[in-house]
Amino acid sequence: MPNKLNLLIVLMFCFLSLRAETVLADKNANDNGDHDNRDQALIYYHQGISAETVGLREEVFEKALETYLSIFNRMKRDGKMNGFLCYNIGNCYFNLKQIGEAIFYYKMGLKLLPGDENIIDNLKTALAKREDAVDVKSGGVKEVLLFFHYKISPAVRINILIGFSIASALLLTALIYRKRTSILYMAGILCACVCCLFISLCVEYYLPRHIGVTVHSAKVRKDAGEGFAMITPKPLGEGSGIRVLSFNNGWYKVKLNDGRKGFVRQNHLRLVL
Amino acid sequence: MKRCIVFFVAIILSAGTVFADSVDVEYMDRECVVGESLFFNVKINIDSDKSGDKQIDVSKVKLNNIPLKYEVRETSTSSFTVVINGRTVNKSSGVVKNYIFEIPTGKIGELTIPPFEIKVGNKTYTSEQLRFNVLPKPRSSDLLFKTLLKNPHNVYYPTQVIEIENKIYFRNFPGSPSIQNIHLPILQHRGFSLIPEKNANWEAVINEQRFNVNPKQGTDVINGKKYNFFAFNLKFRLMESGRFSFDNYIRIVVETGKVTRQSGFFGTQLVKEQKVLYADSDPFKMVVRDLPNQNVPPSFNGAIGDFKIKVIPSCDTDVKVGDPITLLIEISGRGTWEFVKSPPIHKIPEITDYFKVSQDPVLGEVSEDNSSKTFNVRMRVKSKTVDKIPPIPFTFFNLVQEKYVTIYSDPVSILVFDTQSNVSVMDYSLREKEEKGQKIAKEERKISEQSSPDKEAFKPRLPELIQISDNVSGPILYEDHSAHYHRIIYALMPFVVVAMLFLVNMYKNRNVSSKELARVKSRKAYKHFLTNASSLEKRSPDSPVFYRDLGRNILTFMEERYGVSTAELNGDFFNQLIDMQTITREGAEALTKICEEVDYRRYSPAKFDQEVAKTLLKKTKEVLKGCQIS
Repeated sequence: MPNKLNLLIVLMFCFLSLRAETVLADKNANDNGDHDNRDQALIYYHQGISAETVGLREEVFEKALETYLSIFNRMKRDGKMNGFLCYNIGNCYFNLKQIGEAIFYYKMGLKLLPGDENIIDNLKTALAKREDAVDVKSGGVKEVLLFFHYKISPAVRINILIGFSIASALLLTALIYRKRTSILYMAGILCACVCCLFISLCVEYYLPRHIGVTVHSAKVRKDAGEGFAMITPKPLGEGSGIRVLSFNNGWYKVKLNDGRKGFVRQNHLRLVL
Repeated sequence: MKRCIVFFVAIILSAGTVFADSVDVEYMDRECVVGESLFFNVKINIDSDKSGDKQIDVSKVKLNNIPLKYEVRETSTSSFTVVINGRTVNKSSGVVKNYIFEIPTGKIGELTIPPFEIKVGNKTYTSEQLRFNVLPKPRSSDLLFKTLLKNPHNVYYPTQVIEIENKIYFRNFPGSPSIQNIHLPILQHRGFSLIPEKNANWEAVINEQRFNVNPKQGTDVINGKKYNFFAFNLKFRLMESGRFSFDNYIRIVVETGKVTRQSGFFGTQLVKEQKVLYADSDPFKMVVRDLPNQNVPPSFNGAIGDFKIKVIPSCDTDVKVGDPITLLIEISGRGTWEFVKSPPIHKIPEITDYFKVSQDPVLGEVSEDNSSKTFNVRMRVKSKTVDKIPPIPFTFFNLVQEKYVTIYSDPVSILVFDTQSNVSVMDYSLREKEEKGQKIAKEERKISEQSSPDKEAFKPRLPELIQISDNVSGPILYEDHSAHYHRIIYALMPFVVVAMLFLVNMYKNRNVSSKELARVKSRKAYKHFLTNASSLEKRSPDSPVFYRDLGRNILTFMEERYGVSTAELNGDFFNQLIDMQTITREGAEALTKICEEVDYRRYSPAKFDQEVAKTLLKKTKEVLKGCQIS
């Protein structure tokens, strides 16, 4: 009788997992409506690359951008994001010489797909085109030690967490019936990994680190108002990365690399994710 | 006679007094409601013969040291017309100048104008103090006025069109109220240009002037109360930037429901009593921003809206060097045409290098349907190597995207003849020759295309795109890369399953706990004894402490197996165990014997015998094994 109960529990778990995957697959299937638009946008983009006049080039790039942005906004409304879509939008902006916007979308794409080489390459090219720009200091040792927090996207982290938790659950189940030291150690290591990932995701969710990108040349002022003095000798060039602390009444409170705090107008800065 | 002389002298003197200068101050209103203006009149009588010479100074009429605004109306006191040689000549004997002063009111209470001086020629007249009464506006909760912006946006730029809805709500008034005036100062502001409505069929009095509007009527519920409303919309085009705030109000006349007797021409009449009511709207505030001054393209000429550009050559495009080409530049789209000017072609190096362009401003012409504006631009070809008029840029500020957008026209192909060959070839009188000339020109063009390096240089330089990785497409764009934090629940589910399994396992073991526990205890105790015994064996065989340690190990076994302390171990205890069937009688006796033998040999003076010790240990193992629960 107890063996049957165990079997029932495992079967129930399998059913719930399959059900969850089915729901996700259904959601993905609904995206197929955008298929035509995406292809059309790619056609426009390629037309822009091979255009013979500046006017035509800008027109088709604008069309491609418009199409990609409409898809992006629709997906965003549905609570979805796609790193490749951000990358495509970044490419369109880059070819339209709007470096700030391009960097913003590349960074967003990189946040969703941290290891993507195409995005990294194009971002490097775009960063090289900036003038008077600054970037947020990297975390150094902290970033190396907590690589899973900085280098892995939250979506991937969630998947790893699910995998690890299933593995550790299996080991713990084995431990209930066969008390072996080796199983105990392995289960302990996996549970520690699960805890780290869980804490990392909680930090990401509840204490997010907001990074903004200046889409235009932005003046950093002492307080929220056009009348206040600038705290940097020059305005930050477009495409600058800057840490954002809060937002109030059309002004972002930002923190510079040297620790000083200032305010940037809302329309000059866009938050990555 | 004497009387006659006195009479004439009196008439002359009285005439003199009539036409002598005089200044009178008259009240036009003694009281008004706050927000409206009070008026008074300064009437100056001047002799007509001297009116040209006399200067009138009213600048000292002040309120709070600010000169008051005034309006002058001039009338003649007596005039006559004479026709001299067919020409009509007006003559007047006296002039009356009415200076009507306006006093704006902002506070309720008494308003006093201090005595002021007026200079008429050399004479100075001093007035008396003027007193006015400013009353509060009579209001009613049954009358509301609202001025709202339809489809409000966050940001407005000049040339945008806004629509303002004005709604007058009223209830519980006998009869229909009559709107006396709607005070909308936005109409008088130069930053807002009224767009008149087509087919407007109702005349509203706005700012004391009549305007045609399209009214709407209906009922609405505000704060749980049902109101009738009367509404009309006004459209404005924003003409300048700035922060604007307007205080709007209405003045209406309503019946009180009472009837009073009034004597009139036809006797006593019954007249319905009326009263004036005011209602203020919330201040109408608006911010119109200047166009951004960052990243302004050099080709920006002030156009705001959404446009397209098309360039059409309005004459033959086969020309000689130095011949003029007229281009018809058509800008079409949506926007304010006053702001749309010709693209600054004379500033574009790609054009000015190869064409001579006039720098005179080009006046455009707006089409009848107001959908496009066209500019005629004349230019002359400088070089025979030119084969195209390059794309002409047109920059405008796009209100939807809130940024500057530059669009380009398509290039226009042209054919330029060399001056000499053209002269020798072109003969417009003969068709054949013309055709021949065109063929020659085409051949020349082919040759020039092959040989001329200048032509290549002329081609509009399309800036090369920086090589970056290509866009991606396909199913990967369907993927959702966003973090769905709710999926963490799937990570917790396996642990729930483990917890459930653990509980099931515990449940499974609940009935066998005491028996199984005793079995495990006995095994554990025996195992422990065996471990201790093996260490005892490994020791030196002649150790005097062998029996002592063996005895202690047996006691430890007893403690672990039966859960009893050393002090409790006696014959009674074994009897209890036998009664409880925890140990057999034979087992108990064997164990007792072993204990006694160990005790005897421990204190025996005989020499330690290794063989005996080993035999005793073996025997002890067998006895203790028998004490286990199978």
